Amino acid sequence: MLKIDVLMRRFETDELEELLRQKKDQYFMYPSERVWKNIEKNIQPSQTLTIVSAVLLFLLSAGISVLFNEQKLSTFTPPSGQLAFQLSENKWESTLPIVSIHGGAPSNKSESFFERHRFENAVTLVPSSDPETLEHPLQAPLFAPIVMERNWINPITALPKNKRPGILQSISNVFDKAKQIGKEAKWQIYFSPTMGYRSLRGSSSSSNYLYNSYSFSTTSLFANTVKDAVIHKPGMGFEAGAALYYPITKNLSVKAGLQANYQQYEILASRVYPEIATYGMNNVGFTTQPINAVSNYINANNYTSSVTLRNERFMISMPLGIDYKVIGNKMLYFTVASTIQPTYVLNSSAYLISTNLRNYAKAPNLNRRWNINTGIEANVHFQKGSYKWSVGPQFRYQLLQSFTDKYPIKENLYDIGLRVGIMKTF
Amino acid sequence: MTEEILILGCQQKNPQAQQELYQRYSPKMLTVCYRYAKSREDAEDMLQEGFIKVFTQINQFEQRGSLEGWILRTIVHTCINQLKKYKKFTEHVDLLHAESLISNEDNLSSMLQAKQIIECIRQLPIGYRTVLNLYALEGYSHREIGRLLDIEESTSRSQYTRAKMMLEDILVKKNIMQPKKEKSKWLVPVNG
Repeated sequence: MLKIDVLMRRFETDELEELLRQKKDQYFMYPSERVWKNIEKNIQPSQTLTIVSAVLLFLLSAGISVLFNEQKLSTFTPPSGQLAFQLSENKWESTLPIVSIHGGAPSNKSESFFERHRFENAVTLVPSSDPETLEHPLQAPLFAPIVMERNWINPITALPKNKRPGILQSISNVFDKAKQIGKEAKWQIYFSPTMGYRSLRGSSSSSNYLYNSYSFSTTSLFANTVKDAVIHKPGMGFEAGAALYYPITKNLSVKAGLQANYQQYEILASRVYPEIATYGMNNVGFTTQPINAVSNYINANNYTSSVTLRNERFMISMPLGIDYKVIGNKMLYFTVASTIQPTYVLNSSAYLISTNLRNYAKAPNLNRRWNINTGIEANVHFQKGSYKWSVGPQFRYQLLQSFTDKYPIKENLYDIGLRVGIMKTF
Repeated sequence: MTEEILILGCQQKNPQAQQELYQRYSPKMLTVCYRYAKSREDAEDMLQEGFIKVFTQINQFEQRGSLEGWILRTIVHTCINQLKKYKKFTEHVDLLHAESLISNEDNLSSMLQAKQIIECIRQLPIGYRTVLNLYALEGYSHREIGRLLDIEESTSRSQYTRAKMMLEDILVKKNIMQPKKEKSKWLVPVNG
């Protein structure tokens, strides 16, 4: 049918069609600049989005921290007209809620919404003679079950612990534990300017290149190992995040948090006319095929066309670790900490050196998205007003290489920084 | 940059290769879009959407045909999809209407012939010019056009015949083409 169509077309072609075909490629129009800008916005990963994500992440962490501390603060302020007990000199000092010695709702009608709301969160202690219902060691001689204000009674916590039904008991225990952790844990927000760099391992492999006739780059003419062949420099980055500290013993705390890392280092290269560079081999069935990329840069310092490239990564991590107090008192002390950090690379703009050590190009398919970092730090902590500050050096090292196993050159990132943290205390 | 390097670069999202590909093919493709579009702005919108598809789908290009041919098909399909949103391609326009269309434009004589022809094509009603563009300029068969525009193959044929008649009249009137000495009877305008 298609052949008939083609024959028909030849037969039917007349003067008009001939004219149209002759003229169709003789006139071109040039699009306005906005078209390419809009296309570029759609096809290139947005740097703005990355920065906005980082800021949002940081604000979220900070917000959680502030909110958490605000809630703790509100439970401490006695509502107007109510008698509050200030308990001191014990570990409950910073966690005990306000207590009222009468069970009725507040009668002061002029109190603000905020005060009323605060009062709703308060706890009233009702005299009791049943020692089994004691919730708090300091309430022992005088008070028993905890009953919420406004005649609302928590059916679980109102029951003595040993008389609660099984499932309710379990739920209750979980909530009790969570509440206790919440009361004893403290949030810290921190920021570190960092200096980032990398370690490189691997050697040149001229058997993998296909397209160009150079087996080695100009700088690597006498150097087969990648670390001797390249010209790299450390670059400035940062780390920011929030961490929750929970004391296990007097001197040991566990910590968990969320942090953002921006890491970069610099590469000295020279611009060249595009070449195809090889970055490894892919197994396809019983054969192997080279992994190629277009390269506009060579690993050489040609002064007329030299250019500084940046290998940049933006990552989010969840540091989990321990913090040990080595020496000091409550106002001034010294700690060391270690973390393991599952990491996700949100954005990577990295130039890889080709397997023959000649070219630099981006090869996004070879980037590893998930990684694990480890961190060690030493901090001096000191109390200033109601804030606890901490300052100290930190070192972070990427445990898995930055690229997939198909790329024979191994890169591990690391950075050192000065960590400044702040923690609200009461 | 060779075509092979260009394709590989675009597949690896190399910004320089992407820009090179755009600069190389956008003038020609904008002219194609302009033949289908109502205005230059619409044509640029079609071009923009078409090139976004080109860059996001370039991994599907298997290098069996030419890169330009593949880009052209992607752009044409984008144009058709844009037009489909607003228009049906089955409506017929009588030649009396065509006369009134011709009389509305006046300054074609100062343009280059190639541009004049494009402008004349753009004078055609949307259904006619789409079929004419696809058949006479892009080389689609009537069967393919039918599938693309969701119309019968026979409708595509009749649309094309009418489009050609109308375009001939416009081109003759603008002295771009010599008038035919005799018209066959079946080409007599429906209202004439």
